[in-house]
Formats: sequence, C-alpha cells, structure tokens
Amino acid sequence: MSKSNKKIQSPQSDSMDDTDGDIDYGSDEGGSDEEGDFDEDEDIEIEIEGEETDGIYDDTDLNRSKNSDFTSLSAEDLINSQQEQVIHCHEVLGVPLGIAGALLRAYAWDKEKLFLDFFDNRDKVIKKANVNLNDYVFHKGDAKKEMTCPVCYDDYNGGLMLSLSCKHFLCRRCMKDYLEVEIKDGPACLHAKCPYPKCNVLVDETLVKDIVDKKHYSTYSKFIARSFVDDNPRIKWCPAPDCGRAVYCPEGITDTVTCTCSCKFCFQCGKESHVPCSCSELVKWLKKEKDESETATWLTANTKDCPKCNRSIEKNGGCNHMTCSLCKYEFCWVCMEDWKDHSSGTGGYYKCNRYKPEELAGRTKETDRETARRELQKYMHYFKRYANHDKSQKLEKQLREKAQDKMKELTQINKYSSWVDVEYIQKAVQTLIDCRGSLKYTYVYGYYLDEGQEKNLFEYLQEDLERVTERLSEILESTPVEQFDRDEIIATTRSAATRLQHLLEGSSNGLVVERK
Amino acid sequence: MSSLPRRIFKETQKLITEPPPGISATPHEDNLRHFKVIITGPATSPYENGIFNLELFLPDNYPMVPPKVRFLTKIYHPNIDRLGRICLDILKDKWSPALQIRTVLLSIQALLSSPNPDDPLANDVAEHWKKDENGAIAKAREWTQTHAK
Ligand SMILES: [Zn+2]
Ligand SMILES: [Zn+2]
Ligand SMILES: [Zn+2]
Ligand SMILES: [Zn+2]
Ligand SMILES: [Zn+2]
Ligand SMILES: [Zn+2]
Repeated sequence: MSKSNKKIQSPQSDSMDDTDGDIDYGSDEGGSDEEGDFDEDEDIEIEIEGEETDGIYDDTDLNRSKNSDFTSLSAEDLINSQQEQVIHCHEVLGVPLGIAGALLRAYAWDKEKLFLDFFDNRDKVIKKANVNLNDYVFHKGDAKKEMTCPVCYDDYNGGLMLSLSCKHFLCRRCMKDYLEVEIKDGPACLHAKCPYPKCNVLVDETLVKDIVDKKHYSTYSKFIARSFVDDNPRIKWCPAPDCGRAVYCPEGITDTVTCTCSCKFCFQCGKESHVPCSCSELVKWLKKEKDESETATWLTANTKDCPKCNRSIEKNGGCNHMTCSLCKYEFCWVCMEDWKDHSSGTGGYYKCNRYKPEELAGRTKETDRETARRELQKYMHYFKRYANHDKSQKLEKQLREKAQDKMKELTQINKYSSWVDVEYIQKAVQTLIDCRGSLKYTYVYGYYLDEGQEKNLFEYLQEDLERVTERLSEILESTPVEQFDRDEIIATTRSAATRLQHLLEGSSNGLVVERK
Repeated sequence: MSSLPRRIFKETQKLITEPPPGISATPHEDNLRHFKVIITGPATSPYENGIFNLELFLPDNYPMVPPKVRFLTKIYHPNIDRLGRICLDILKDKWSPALQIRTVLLSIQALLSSPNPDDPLANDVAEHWKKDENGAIAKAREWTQTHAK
C-alpha cells in the first residue's frame, strides 16, 4: 500500500484566490474544496496555491510541519470521509454496509487493523463487534396470522410486524418511535438494541435509515461522524469555538496542526498550539494557574473532564459516582480515579479520602515560608509575561480581520497593485500571531527549564524574538495603511519568522549548537 | 393532551381487573396518566405489614420512555432516597418499551424484599446497611410501623 495523502491547506493559500478579500473564516466554504479523501490507494500531489509568492517564506512557513501532513475537514467532509471508509471496508471485506460501519466503530476506525484481523480470524472479529453477518435485515411476521404489538397493544396482520434477527416482533410505527426516541436521546443510539427487555441484538445502521424519518436519520449520521472523530486517534476536533471542523493526521504523531479556520492546535492534547512547551508541562502549568488563583473554588466546580476521553461531564447530584456519557468510564468525582477502587473503606459515596490536597498552609517553619515566597515570586515572574503575551495575542487576532480591510484599502489607493502585491500584510499578521502564541508558551517552557547554560541561551533567543515581535506589532498596529513600507514589513516579518524557527528548533533539538 | 393510547387503556383495565398480589394501581379521574399506587410490604421483609403509597406518572412518550414513580410514604431503604426516588435499573437505562406498569410495580415490590446496598441512592442508609445490617433492618421495621400505616 502506498503512502497516503495529502493536500496541505494553509490559511494564506486558502484566501489567495478570494479576490474580493471578504473571507469568512467561520463558513464551511473553506473546507468544501478539499477532498478529505483518505483513500490509501490514491496519491494526491501536494498542492499549494500561490506557489510563486510562497517562495520568500519557504524555509520559515510554520504552517507546514516537516514531519507529518494533515488535512482539515469540514462537517460535510467528515460525513463523506466516514462514508468512504465504510464503503471501502464494505468492498474489501464483502460485508453489508451497515455491518462495515459497525466493524469500523468497533475498531476505532483503524481500517488496517480491522482488515488484518478480519482476514486472519473473521469469526472472532464479527463476534467482537456484536454483529450478525447473515442476519441484518428486518424480519416480517407471518402474514397469515394476526399479531399483537407488545408496545402499542394494537393488533396487526403479521406481515406488518417487524423484528431483528431475534424475532422479537413490533409494529412498524412502534419500531420507528422507539428508534427516534433513542436518536433524540443522544450518541448512545449508535448502540441501540432490540427494544425487548434484555435482548442484545444490535440495530443495524441500514435498518435505522430504512425506518426513521429524514430529520432523525440526519441526526444519527451526525452522531456517526462524531464517533468517527471521537473514537479515531488520527482525527481531532479543532478547538476553536464555532469551528466544527476536524483535522486528520494519518501518522497521528505530530505536534502543531492548522485548521482551515486558521486555528493552530496541538494534535496530541487538542489544546491551542503550545510550542515550545510540552503537553505535560502545559498540563502542570495550567493546573498551577488554577491552584494559585482559585484553590477554593476548584474542588467545587461543577464540570470536570472525563479522565479517559476528556469529554466534559457535569455533576448533577450529590453522588460522586460519575459515569461518562461518551465512553461510559466510571470514575470518582473527588479523586478522578477508577470507581472500581472505591468502597465504604474510602469514605463512602459522598466523601472520598483518596484525594489528599497538598496543604500550602501547612508550612510553618520560617525557611519553608521563605522558599514558598521565592517560589511564588518566580512563578509570578513567568506568569505575568505569559499572561501579557496572551492578552496581546487576543488583540492581534482581531488584526486578522482588519488586515483584510487594510489590504482592500491599499488595492484601492493604488490602482496598479493587485491582491498579490498586498498579500504580505496577511503574512505579516499571521507571523505576528504565531510569534505571540509561541512567546506566550516560552514562559511556560522557561519556568520548567533548569538554570544553566541552556537556559541562558534560551532566554537570549526569547528576548531576541520578543524584540522583533514587538516591532512587527507596532508597525502593523500604529502605522496608517497608506504609510505602509512594504519592504520593511516583509523584512521584519521574515526576521521574526526566522527567529521563531530558531527558537523552536533550538528548544526541540537542544540548545547546544551556537547560533549563526 | 392527545387522547389516551389504546395501550394505556388496556394496561389500566388489566391492572384493575387482575391486580398483582399486594399491589393496587388506580388512575386519577382527572388525569388518566397519573396513578395512585399502593404496595403492601412483602412478608419476611422489614417492610412486612406496611402500606406504602406511591405515585406513578406516564409521560407523553410512554412507553418509549419509562414511567416516573416515587414513594410518598417515608421508607428506610438503601435504594430509595428521602424524596422517595427509586434506584432501579428498569426505570432508567434498562427500560424497554415492551415492559409495563405491572412489571415496574412488581420490580419495586421485589426491591423491598431484597435491598441492594451496593447500588445505593440513599448513601447514609446504605452505609448503615453494610456496617450493621441487623441495626438497619430494625430501623426499617420501626419506620414501617411509624409511617406505613
Ligand atoms: Zn406497535
Ligand atoms: Zn430482540
Ligand atoms: Zn478550526
Ligand atoms: Zn499538546
Ligand atoms: Zn469519557
Ligand atoms: Zn475517589
């Protein structure tokens, strides 16, 4: 099988041909021209629109990760790709479509593993997925007999009654009502079973399509698309609010990816891009931030993320026994550990003594207090700078929209300049946002970096980048557009991008080599 | 509200003409989806001889969703809380539209015979049950005599 994929989309190239300059980052249009094609047998050439102007940034374009490729998928792409996967599986394995879907879901959409296992031991795979290969259609009752539907208690000709392979008959209307209520209930409808008590026969997707109305089937399809992302380690939702797209990364091992909406995020933890600091450092940092600012309210917060799948779970009763609505993991609200490890020995159902808060107030000795104060000072030093860059980044993100206006204005001022001539502004803004984002996290990285030669060098690079970033920010924010110096902006942009690259490369490869 | 589905009509009729032993369920005159239920405490349980009042309501999309049931009489039971809410799987995720009011009420009766402190709703009661079963049973019996008359 040949190596797959992919067409790389960067926000810059996306808007190049959008000559009226009116870019709606929130719409699905950006994604609709992408294929979202996962077909492993097909090679899609790397295609970057506007190649000629891209040249000047070739070595510094941070949208393109060197190690791995990724594709941004709109909601529509997701449904299409998901269906393509199902069809491919249906063709290769020779199983009905609905069963192909159930098999893929049982394998967390790992098609290769499914194929290998299926050809190795077909029966085991089928058993694991709880499907019945030979019996997946609705059965009709005996048309010569009268039957009573056990749900509505009405009498019907047997030919109008339906059942799954278990032959538990229901009238068509009740089967429809049953499935529609299941769908209204949420994503668990993907595992809907025969409506008879204790019967475990799975309702096949094709049966759902056959019997429920269009509106409900579309909801059902959305749940399938969601499971396609939620269960699939190679696809992650874009964390930008209201985006709704997901990013596919075939290797599954990369750090920063860029969604069509221009949001950059970490493929490992799903949070906004946080290079150069690592996911675990970020987790530690964010926890610290929380502890410092709201130690008291933290424990009583009403939502927590499921420790297994990260779905946000709301606590709506007194009991600490939580069950995740998505992955069904059962855990303890207080200590976030497996519920299986709990009994009356750990304090019962309302209290849990597995959780032992680190008592800061417990320090009494003078030396300890001094250490604590010094630690806090160090933290505040880094936190202030982190928070500052965060604030600036939020403001500069608004520049992105303003940049469009500025570019439009410039093309109107000078009749001879085309969109390509002013495109440098957009690059400058994007570089500014990227630098700002990374600067923010350099303070997290720096906080956890041990004192020494390496730290000194890192801080030197950080300072250097900070200086150029502030310069770029100043030019873009306070110069009137008609006074824009194209050469200066291009030079500053390039300088900032190069410094950012040095810093990121340095922090990932070690800062031992001297800078040129 | 739409007219009463045939199923509810039939279930009601059968509950009145052939009531399960120790159980009675009668619909309110003004709302035929709202039932007044009386369960007699099962023999050899701490609830023996008790008369327990419950209310049962059939939501609009019954039987696709389970009926809503709660105890009106105070009861000391690890699976029933102070508000009379009942922890019973068929009233939640194990509900099936092929079950009936009758099966629900029989299950509640069975729950009185065999409390399950490992799946508690009333945690303090469950703890009591686990630590000192005899003491808890005595208290349940006492409550039955005081409240379930
Ligand atoms: Zn029916
Ligand atoms: Zn069945
Ligand atoms: Zn996005
Ligand atoms: Zn991460
Ligand atoms: Zn979960
Ligand atoms: Zn716990």
